[in-house]
Amino acid sequence: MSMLRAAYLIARKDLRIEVRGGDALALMGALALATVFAFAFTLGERTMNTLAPERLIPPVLWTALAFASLVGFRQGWAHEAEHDALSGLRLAPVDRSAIYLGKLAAALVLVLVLEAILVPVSGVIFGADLIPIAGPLTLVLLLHSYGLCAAGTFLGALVNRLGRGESLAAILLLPVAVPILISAGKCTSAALAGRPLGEVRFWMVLAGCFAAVITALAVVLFEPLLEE
Amino acid sequence: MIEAAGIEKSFGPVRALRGVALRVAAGEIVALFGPNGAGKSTLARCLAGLSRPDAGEVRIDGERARGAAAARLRSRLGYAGHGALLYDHLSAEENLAFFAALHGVPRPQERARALLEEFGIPGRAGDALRGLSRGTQQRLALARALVHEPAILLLDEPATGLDPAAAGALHDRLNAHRQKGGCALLVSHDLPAALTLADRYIVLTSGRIGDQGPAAGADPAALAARFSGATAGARA
Repeated sequence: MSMLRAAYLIARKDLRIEVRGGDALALMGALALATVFAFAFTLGERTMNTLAPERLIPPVLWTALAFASLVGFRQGWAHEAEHDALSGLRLAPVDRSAIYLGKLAAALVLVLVLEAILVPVSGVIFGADLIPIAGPLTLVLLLHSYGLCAAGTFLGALVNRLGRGESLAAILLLPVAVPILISAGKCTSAALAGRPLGEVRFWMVLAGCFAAVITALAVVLFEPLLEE
Repeated sequence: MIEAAGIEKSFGPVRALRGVALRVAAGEIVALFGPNGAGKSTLARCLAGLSRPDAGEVRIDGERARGAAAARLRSRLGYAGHGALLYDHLSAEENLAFFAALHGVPRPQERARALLEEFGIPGRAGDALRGLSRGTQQRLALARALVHEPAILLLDEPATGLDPAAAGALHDRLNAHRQKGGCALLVSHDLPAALTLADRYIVLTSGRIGDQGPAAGADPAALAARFSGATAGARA
């Protein structure tokens, strides 16, 4: 069986677990929405009327996404700890990197579903008309979400291996994800302002390189990481 | 056939396995006994490729189970350990179909249904794992280990939680597996039952092979007394 086929099966299984009663998306949604509303209340009406949406939304949105996605990364691995299910995956006759790729794909789907709710809500709260800029904004969200999930899934596996909780995941993910978060802020701001993404080409390329390097490193290091 | 030579494994200062060598030939069932903490489960996990030995090597059908060959060779192994290696939120059928698909079994759904029938739990196909009793979960764990019809079985206390009828069915299934040329390493604390089934026994004490011999004619009580004594001696 090919590594991609195995990754697809693992991703489908993770999403089925989520549908069957996994609570990752509900927790992620609650945390992300709470963060957005907390920002809205603390910024206050005057600041929100003074600052343009392209200044307000990127930091709020990516802060909410970064913290909420931590829950998703942790939950995805928590299912593998129950009944030692991860050993079941490791016994499959496929390259074990397929486990990483499958869990990355499932995490990405969850984050994208979360964004489908969170971005319009942020648009309404902070007064941005998202329809004219939907195309470039979607591209920015896809690229940066992938980078965030690539790093988060790998670090989630590391935290799971070490038997530690969300606090360690946060301590590890946020510094590692700094390049992707900076890039996400710049590119989301450009998209929201209706500026061409060519203006932020450097940041888009940086995010792409970050995602590619993290994915390649994770694929190489994943099997040693799982070893007992 | 599965063989191991010079297997060493430590967890920090604890030496779990100390130069273990064994061979389970095709058409053979070997029972692995030993007191708690002797290293039996660690050895089973090393043989399954779930735990990497610090030294020594594992060969499956004569091939070294390392590097690129390891993934291919895993298709010949079926392992059941202390955990069910299944998912709480998936149904019995979904769990089996998922692992069947992951092992490249054609028509995984049909295979899952056939196994549920074979293990006497077709009525629980749609029930989530978390709603099943310990014994039913164990049946499913065994079905998962057999989902791809592996030639080599590594079963770590497989009868735990099974009722006498299910334990008897497992016994029959292992006999049939041997008759078809398959082999099995059976980790067990139930010496009388395991000796009835096995061709040979091996006793592991403090990470070393302490005693071995043919199962036929072996006295379970004397064997248990011997390895208990060996453990006490090692501790002293």
